[in-house]
Amino acid sequence: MSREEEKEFVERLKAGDEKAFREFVLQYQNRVFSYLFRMLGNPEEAEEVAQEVFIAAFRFIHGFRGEGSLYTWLLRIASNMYKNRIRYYVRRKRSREFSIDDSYERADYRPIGERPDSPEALVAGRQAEVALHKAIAMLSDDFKEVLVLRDIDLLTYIDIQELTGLAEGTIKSRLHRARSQLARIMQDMLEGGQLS
Amino acid sequence: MTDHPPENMVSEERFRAYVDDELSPLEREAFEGELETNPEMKEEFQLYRSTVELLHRVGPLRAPDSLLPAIQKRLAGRHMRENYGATIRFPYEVLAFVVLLGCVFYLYATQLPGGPGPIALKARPQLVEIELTGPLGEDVEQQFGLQVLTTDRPFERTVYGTFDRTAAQRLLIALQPRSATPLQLPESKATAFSMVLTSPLK
Repeated sequence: MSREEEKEFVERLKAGDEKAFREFVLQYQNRVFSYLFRMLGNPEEAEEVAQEVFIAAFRFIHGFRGEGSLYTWLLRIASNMYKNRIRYYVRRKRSREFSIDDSYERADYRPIGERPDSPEALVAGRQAEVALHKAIAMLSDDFKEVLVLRDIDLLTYIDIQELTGLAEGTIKSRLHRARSQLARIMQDMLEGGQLS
Repeated sequence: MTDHPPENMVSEERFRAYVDDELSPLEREAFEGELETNPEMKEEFQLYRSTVELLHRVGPLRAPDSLLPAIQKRLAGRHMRENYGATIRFPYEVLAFVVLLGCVFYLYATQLPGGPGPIALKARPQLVEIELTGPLGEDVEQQFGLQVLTTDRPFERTVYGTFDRTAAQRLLIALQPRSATPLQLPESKATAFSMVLTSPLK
């Protein structure tokens, strides 16, 4: 969507156009859900927060000034909501009881990538995805966020800066360290037979 | 935890710069040459690069199909509350008002001096208007708790009160000496009567 198209689209959203809102959800739901799922590690919780994100976006769309992209604005809401939720758990000293081992398996949250050309490739791809999901969950939240935004959501450094408020150097440094940690975790899994 | 890598990792920062295609052609060449002479570093870099490639390949996940309907349902609920909330609450307000009015009327009818008495609550009283030929007298007014409706000095005075059938009949018996005609309650199924009595002042 070009800048002009996005501007028109935002105007429709601001006018309360229900069809536009439906398009808005359909256009961004996978990326928002994906980001929240990677950050929270739990599909049910990610879906719940994703609902909140879109409802908040619908309520506060009038406050969107169009300085950045609509998606980074939406993702900032998602980021705030996910951080609020984590803070809530910390404040209430509540543990988030779910198994990271089966969170990826519980539902068919298939990546929207290329389709594998054989059952073997499908299984191998699936195993790698599950291992990757587990490995990402082991990273600290700071590392996880830049990694997810840059390497999975493929945002530019400028977008990440806008979203996180971090300096570019900090983002790059965190990203490198996140990737290195992730690579080591994946290697350990490979050696431990969790990833064939 | 610092965000700046230790000194021994600085060269590894080039892993990121290489993968993100941020090195100049000369820097790339130098880096690739370094990898060729350092198998340990090369192995580490290959792991690094394959991890990033896997991340890029995975991409976003598919959101559950239930997400959009759930959002629409919640928004519809919010819309209803925001737009029709006042209407939804309205009967409760009316109910509260009616209850309050009922309480006030009950107090007026049963507790406060001058109220029509508890009979008024039980049934709609039948109106009985009587013109007396002699003055009513304060003793009868007080005995039956009659209230002044109008006083047209120096000619007449009109009082009223609501009574059940028995009390109304007692009142009529008390009034009979002041009436030229026999006083009777009307033939009806009414159980309560609003007695309006007009009498000369002198």
